[in-house]
Amino acid sequence: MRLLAWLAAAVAIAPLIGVVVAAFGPGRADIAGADLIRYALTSVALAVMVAIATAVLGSVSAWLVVMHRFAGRSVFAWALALPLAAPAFAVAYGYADLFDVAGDLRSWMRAVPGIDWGPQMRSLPGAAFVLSLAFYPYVYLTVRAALVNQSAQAVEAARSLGCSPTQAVFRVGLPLLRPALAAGVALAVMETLADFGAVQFLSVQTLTTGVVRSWFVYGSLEAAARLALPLLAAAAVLLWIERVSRRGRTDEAARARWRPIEPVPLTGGRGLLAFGFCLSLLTLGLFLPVGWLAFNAIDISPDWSRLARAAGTSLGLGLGGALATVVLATCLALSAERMPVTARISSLGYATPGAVMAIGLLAPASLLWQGVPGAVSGLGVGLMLLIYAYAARLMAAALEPVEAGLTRVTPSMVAAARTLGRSEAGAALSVRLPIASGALLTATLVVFIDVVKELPATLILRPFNVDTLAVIADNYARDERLANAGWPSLMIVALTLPAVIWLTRKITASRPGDPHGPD
Amino acid sequence: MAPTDAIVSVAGVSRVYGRKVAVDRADLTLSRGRILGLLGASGSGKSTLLRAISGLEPVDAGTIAIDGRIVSSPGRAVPPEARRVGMVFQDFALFPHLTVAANVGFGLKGHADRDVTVAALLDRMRLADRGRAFPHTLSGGEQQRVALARALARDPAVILLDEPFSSLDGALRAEVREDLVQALRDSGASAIVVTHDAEDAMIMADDLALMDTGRIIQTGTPHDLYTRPTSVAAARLLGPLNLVEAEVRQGLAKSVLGQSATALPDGTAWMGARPTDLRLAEPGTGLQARVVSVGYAGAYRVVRATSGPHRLLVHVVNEAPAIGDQVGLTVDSPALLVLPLP
Repeated sequence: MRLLAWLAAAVAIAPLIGVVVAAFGPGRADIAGADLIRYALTSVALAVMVAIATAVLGSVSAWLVVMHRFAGRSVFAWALALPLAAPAFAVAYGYADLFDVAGDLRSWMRAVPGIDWGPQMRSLPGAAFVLSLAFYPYVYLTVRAALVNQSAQAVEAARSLGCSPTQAVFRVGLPLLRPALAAGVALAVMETLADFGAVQFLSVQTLTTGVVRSWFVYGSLEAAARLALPLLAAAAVLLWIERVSRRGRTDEAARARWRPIEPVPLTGGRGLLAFGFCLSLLTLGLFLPVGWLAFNAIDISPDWSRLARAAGTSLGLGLGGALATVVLATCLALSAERMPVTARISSLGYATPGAVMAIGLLAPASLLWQGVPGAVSGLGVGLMLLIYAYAARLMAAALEPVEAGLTRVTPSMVAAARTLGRSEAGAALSVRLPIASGALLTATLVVFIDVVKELPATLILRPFNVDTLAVIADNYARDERLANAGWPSLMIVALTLPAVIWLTRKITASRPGDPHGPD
Repeated sequence: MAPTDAIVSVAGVSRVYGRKVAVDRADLTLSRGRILGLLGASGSGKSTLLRAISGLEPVDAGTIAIDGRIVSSPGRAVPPEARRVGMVFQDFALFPHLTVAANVGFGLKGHADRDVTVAALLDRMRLADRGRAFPHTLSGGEQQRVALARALARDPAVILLDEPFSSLDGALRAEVREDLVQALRDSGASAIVVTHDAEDAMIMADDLALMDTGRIIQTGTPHDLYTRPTSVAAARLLGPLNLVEAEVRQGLAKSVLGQSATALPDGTAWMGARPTDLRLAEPGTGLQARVVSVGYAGAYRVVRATSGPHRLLVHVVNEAPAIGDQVGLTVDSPALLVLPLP
């Protein structure tokens, strides 16, 4: 089992080493220093804007839903995370089309109210707007968990020490949330730096678009790898922030004296405002852009057979990627107590953009392609490489729920299984994994959702003629055929939405400290 | 304890974590069909020793033999699943994803008579109607009986129980303890019970081993150990103790509490008396003391008194004095314990 854990760690870490080796390789790397700096500055500016916006949107919505009672609160509790089902590029297509100068909305505005103005989506602020709406659920979910987890006693203690209700929130409540906020924002920024489809479509040049373009336009692995290096460094820093924040997270719910915070009823105008805010967020993040894509897509008749093939590929890669990742992450988790450093190192992949991961795999991949001739085996190797890239990138995303699920198995349960005749592997199969089975399903769905939405690594590594829905959407969008891009985008949402609904309902229905609750 | 009838023999076993010696050259023998209590404060190494016997922990020195076969020695350990031990854990460690019957039958995988054995065990443990229940729906006492039935199912050579009552309290604890002892006796199993509770240990065990800072400091029957401890640490493990300094001269120890024959060499020693062995007497008789507190403990009263530098604890069944009263304290000579300085 430990051997498998080492293998899992090697899978996660090998592409990162590949990037570093390629970056310092002898090949040509014709990137101007000025370009590198421009790309980096754009990435930083975008990350800062998204960080601020997701922090505000995610924490305000979590604060409203957990601490207050108003109409629709119980639905918003899980529905506010639904934008996770839509890939960021689909949100970008929707908004770019909606506010296009020649689009229906702007034409109508010019004709009827006589206003010729609309937000410029193909700009840095436009990209920040789109990515903030796509990624605020990361902050919402972590802050919500921290708020639910918080015991009323901390705030009550502050009240008994002379704080007014408002002072108690600012002096005790908010500082307790800081670690969760930092962790959520770190996740949103990781996703922002990793995004390719949305920023590329909105004509914003970031390091990640630079990596993909260096490879596709200039065919330069070295240039791509050199652009990837700062991303790798940023990934390490963000992962470190996320981990440190987690350490600081208080776990009041695990304590016996935990009592839930009693929500404050919001009536009249305040209740309406809270309802309006949550509904607007959900509308802007999911219903409006996806609805607009659907509205435009209805008019055209897509190439159904191509879409069906791509949907099959997306589904197959999603399931294959999810299974491979969860199996490897489970091996790692089962041995994690004995090899904690290995488990942590392999988490680095999660913060690493897919494009960087793919670049790291290109050098070994080309060796493989040369070594395995023939179309069929070439296709097989290509698909395996893709699944490898997904596993390396998403190992940590799977590892976290699996580890959490395994904590429900006490050391004495494992010891009991051993004294009752099971070997270490037998105890894992008969006790540890069945008890953590809910967590394994959670991990599988998390990876599945991410794989189906994945674009840059798929673009770089996919075998010739293998299209996923994301790739088709990207192809159409590059040709400005947004109505056509709508169909594959909508199909991605259709594939991921059930999983996202199941996951968010499960997460938000859990009662803190419940030993029989969700993993 | 007849060594020839030993089912578990622990000889010179040590277990070291870095610089901490958790178990230090421990010797222990469990005789067939008997219940051995391993009593010690938390951190004394008793659970580590139990885990070493079960095979969950390796040993750094010494050997452990079960039913005449060496199962642990440095660098070599028969895995737990091949040792014929059954273990009952502090938190019971029932598998939450399995029913009661499946928990009990867990160790009987592949046995043809599994269902029959499980049914018989459930019946014996008064759990016949709970076979389909899941562990979290059971009471604490029922959970423990399931844990014991599960451990007994494979007909182990020895049952190991790690703090079996620590998650229970009050009246339930006494009731469960009686049930457990009865079930163990009925099964005829040999058992080692680890506990930090002197009362649990003395009531349950045929033989006791006292453990302190990794060492087995004394073994014997509960009565022997209670009445004839060989060290202050052993005496304190079995209950509260009043200690005063004594002088030993030619086989006789003398202190403010009285005098008692001893085999200790001449010099200074400790003299001890249990709170139940001290008696209140009229002022002027015995050791003169002043009552500083009186507490009510149901069946008896807890009286604290001072006499010069000595603070003394007395358990009084009859009428208690008032705070501030001057009293005399006496103790029968056979009840006096003369113990060496550490």
